[in-house]
Amino acid sequence: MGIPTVTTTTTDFLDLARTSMASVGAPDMAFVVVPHPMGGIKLEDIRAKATAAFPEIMKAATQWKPGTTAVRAAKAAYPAERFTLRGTVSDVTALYYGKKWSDGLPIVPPTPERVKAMLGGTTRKPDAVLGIVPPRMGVLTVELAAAHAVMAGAKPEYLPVILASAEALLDPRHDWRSATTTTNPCAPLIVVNGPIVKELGIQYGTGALGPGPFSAPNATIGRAVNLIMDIVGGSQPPSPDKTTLGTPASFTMVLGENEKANPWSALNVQQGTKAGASTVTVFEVRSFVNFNLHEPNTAEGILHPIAKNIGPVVGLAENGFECKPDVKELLILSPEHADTIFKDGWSLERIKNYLFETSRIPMADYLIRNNNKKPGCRQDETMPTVVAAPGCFLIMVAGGEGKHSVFLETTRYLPVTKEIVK
Amino acid sequence: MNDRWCKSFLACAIFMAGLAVPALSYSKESAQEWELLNPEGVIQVKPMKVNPHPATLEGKTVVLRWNGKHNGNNFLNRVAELLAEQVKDVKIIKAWEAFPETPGSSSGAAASKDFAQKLAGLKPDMVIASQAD
Repeated sequence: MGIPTVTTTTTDFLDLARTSMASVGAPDMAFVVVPHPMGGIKLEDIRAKATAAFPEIMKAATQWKPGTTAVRAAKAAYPAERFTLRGTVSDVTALYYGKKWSDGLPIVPPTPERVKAMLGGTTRKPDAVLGIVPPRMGVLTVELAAAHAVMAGAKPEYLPVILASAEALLDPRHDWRSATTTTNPCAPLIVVNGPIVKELGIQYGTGALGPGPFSAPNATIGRAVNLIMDIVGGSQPPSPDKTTLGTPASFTMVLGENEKANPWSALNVQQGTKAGASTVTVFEVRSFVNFNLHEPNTAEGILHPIAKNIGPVVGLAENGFECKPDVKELLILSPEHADTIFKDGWSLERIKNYLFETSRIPMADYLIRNNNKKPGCRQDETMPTVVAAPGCFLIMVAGGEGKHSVFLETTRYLPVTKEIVK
Repeated sequence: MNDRWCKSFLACAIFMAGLAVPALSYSKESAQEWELLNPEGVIQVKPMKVNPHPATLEGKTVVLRWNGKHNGNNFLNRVAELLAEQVKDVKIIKAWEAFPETPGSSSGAAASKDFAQKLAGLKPDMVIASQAD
């Protein structure tokens, strides 16, 4: 736009600032470094930091000159670079770990033969570009995705799910860059619908989100996607992934929907896909709240405690109080809870309306949390809703026997559904 | 006697070596030649032309841009005070007051781009941004 800028950043975010500048092709932008933190300190302290930084701000504003750092010339994305190594499997694992080409677990060495075998799982051309993965802006081809699938231990038949998941995350509506560089503990959740769930043995019942003897599809599909994010996208802690504590869900979080146990519309149909399609829907998950509800035998008995907790989680625990109507929060009902609610005559619409109305929180509580700053919407309400509309709730059914349902707070990075193409 | 001692020692040594060899072979992987793919992929970034800065802010329009995070506005408020005190005829616009309905950059890339367009409409000579966190 032709406008000179000076950006302040704190010491702890300096690396992220440099990565961000490089990723937009401006490695030499002017910035001023302030001691961390800026947020969460008293007024007099932040004013003192501004006073101390002001001479540097003036210098950057009036004396900055572009540097000579060159942006690297583009190389061909396909075929992926190969290299040779003499050593043992342990040596390969150690090399990949040392180069940050790992999530901390041993990888399966991506030899050309293994990658070629993996590419047999899709009809897509290996040189097809799926997208540019932020914040490093690595070019993700089908071949490169296959290499990560090999590293993760996936089977060739899982590759179409991995490709669809990567494309969904790369969709601009999802804002993957923000999700991978935030201080929040965001982790991609990949929900799989349709016939492919059973074809591939993707877990959707008992223990579906945990490890187990049959969890290879869930474990390796999610792992491949996270490796892509970390390696091609470069999003690793401590920078540019600034997640304060992180989450184990970042290793993998893949879940099939138990569509047979869902008496209403499947998740992907709620997202606008035709019934029966094999799809992935990607979310960024933060809070995972379990509802251990053995006693209630009515719809309201189950949904009341859920709604009463959604409000504080979304509006107070997370910065999820949302004005936009397209943000989605996810409730995973166990089959038994879904059955009770359905037999009580509740439709999906009624469930969503109930959650919307019953999850209201006192504005007074929100103001304490927000340093008396009112939200951008519903400011004059004393008991505002925490989301903009009932349609902001998505309901799915998963899990096995037992009376535990789970609410997942899923950030403002919009969920995206993509059809799986073999 | 010496001969018997030597034979006993030799037998013992051979016996011990026989015990050790399987253990050694368990701990020894075979080295081989590997051809492997580099999983990083190439980077695709278009170079951006960054504009020269003015030699002085006197008489210029400076927009202060806050990303919505706590204390960013307080930081920039102090910067505004110091600019007013020290820079002659500077015009200061606080973006969060000019566009109170605009969310911070945390609401996503598309929202940030829209916001940038709005700021450009103020015709600033300089934008000073606070990325508080």
